[in-house]
Amino acid sequence: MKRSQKALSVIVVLAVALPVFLLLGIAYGAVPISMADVVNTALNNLGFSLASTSDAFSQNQLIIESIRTPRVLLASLIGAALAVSGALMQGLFRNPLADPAIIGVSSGAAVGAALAILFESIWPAGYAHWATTIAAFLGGLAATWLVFKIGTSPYGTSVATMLLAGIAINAFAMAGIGLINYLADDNQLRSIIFWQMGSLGAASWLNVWSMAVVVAAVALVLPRYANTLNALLLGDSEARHLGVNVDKAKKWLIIVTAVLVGVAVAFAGMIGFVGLVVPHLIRLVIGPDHRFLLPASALLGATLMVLADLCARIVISPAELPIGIVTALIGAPFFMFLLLQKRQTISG
Amino acid sequence: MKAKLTALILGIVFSTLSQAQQRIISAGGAMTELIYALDVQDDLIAVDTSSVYPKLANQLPKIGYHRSLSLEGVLSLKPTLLLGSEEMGPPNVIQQLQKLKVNVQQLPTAVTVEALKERIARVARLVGKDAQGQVLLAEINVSQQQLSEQLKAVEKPRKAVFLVQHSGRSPMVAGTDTSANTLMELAGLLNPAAKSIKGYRQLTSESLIVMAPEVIIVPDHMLKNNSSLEKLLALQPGLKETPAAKNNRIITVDSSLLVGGIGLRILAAAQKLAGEAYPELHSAIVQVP
Repeated sequence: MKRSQKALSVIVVLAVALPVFLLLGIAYGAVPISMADVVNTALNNLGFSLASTSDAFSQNQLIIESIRTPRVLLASLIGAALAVSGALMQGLFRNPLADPAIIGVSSGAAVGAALAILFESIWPAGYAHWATTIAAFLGGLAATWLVFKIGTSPYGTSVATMLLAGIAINAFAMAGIGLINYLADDNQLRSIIFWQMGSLGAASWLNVWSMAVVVAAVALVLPRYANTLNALLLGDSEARHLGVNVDKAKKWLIIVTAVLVGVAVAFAGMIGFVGLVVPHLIRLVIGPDHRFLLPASALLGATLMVLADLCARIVISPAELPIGIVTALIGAPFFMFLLLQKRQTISG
Repeated sequence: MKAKLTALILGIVFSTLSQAQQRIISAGGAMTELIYALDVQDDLIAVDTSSVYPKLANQLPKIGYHRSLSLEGVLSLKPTLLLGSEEMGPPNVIQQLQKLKVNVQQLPTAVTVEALKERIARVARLVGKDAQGQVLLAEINVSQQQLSEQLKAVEKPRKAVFLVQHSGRSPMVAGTDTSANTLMELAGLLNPAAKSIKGYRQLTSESLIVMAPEVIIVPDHMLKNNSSLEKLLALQPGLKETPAAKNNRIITVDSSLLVGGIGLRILAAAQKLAGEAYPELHSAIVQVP
């Protein structure tokens, strides 16, 4: 009882923190915009126009509406998607080292994107960007499908086989990317490398809505699987005894992860570390109960991603850092610090 | 056509109206070099990270690499004109900048002298320095003519390969569609790698020996990094066996010349290269400052 109360309070704190960080993300950037303009823009969109506005208001309004807001929202959705996928994979594989990349979705997406960049000249001008996004998504799904097929036999789905298949697919994908890199010219090579470092620079309302639909659909389905994941933590046969349809559950969880990560990677490139670390942080604080772990991971993932993107945008302004580098740079030392703090608790 | 017309009209508007008030961002080394040559550097407010020549450009704010510009970063500098190459991007950022009424001009980067001339003329018009542009074009025409006159004395063109090495990897050779290839052509050298290679590719030692280059050209940073010719020759087996190595005809060229298309200094560099590749004609090949 005490534990669930603690978990709930953590979720409440995170749910309060997220809007604050969203607002910070909208208020700060390379172009200085006053809080008054931010508030006025919000009021304007809600149908009020009360306060007086500054001279640069119309441009600032445009920046807030068409650049920062979609970008911040996309960041939070992607952060939530990656963190939840990480929690799902760690639960499903009963392995704290599991992250969404384990089922090949990231490397498959990278191959898809690299291929699209290599053949960018065959797309009509202006559509190459979409080709990369779509190819990344399809590549991610294809790799996951392959991993899943290899892991599934008439006797059921073996997560151990899937893990090994994932390793094989990842290695194969890396070789594929190496080959594409070799065939690419200098400019394509740079595009591929930049894609792999991740960026939210392409955020648009269309991206936000697509991502929101996927995340909302998952948010509706997932609560039903919280107890299933808890049961799976005991082991496959124990879960079966508890009345869980293990194979069906595994299949659904893999599909959910592939779609979540596939869309996230397609829109923003490779963003590592969030999926691996966020569920760990949450588990250290509130324990492994998936009923609380999943929503808390989503909230923390969203918050961290918004914060990381804010850093990416302002640290070396007017230039911009790739977001994947920021998440790793902030995340890894913090995670190490936490491990050192909690060493006893974990091993004990 | 429409874009060209718009560029023309904008150019005229800019040149007649507010010359002092323009705020230019230049993305791409060759473009930045051109801005300085056209003497509009006072209007230049920022450059990208590939703009390293002239050295003064390094003191300006950097907007990141020209293929991965930040939308807000560019906006925050309030540019009136963003000049770059076709490679400038990402495309969605360029589209949004245009929507936000920033004058974005992307110029072709083809690695030919003709493309260079076209670029000079267009940029000169865009920044309101038509006259200065004409001067640069005339200079190029003169050196081009001088060079072809001087190279008439070459009876048999020498075979040359251009090698570039990124740290720790075996060298790559320049084929067609590279600024290095253009430089070699201008200097009256024959690039055997151009037959089969487009862009830069790694080369097997055997094909290097078959090509039997009489001249090997490397960017100067490579000799700096490898510190000695021996180390350079050790990079790839077979390099030592080429006529170029045996006759010690290994020539360095300024690395900054070859990044981001060919720039204004290409003809002077070609002249220098020709002088070094054909030392026997040295008297005929006069350096033009």
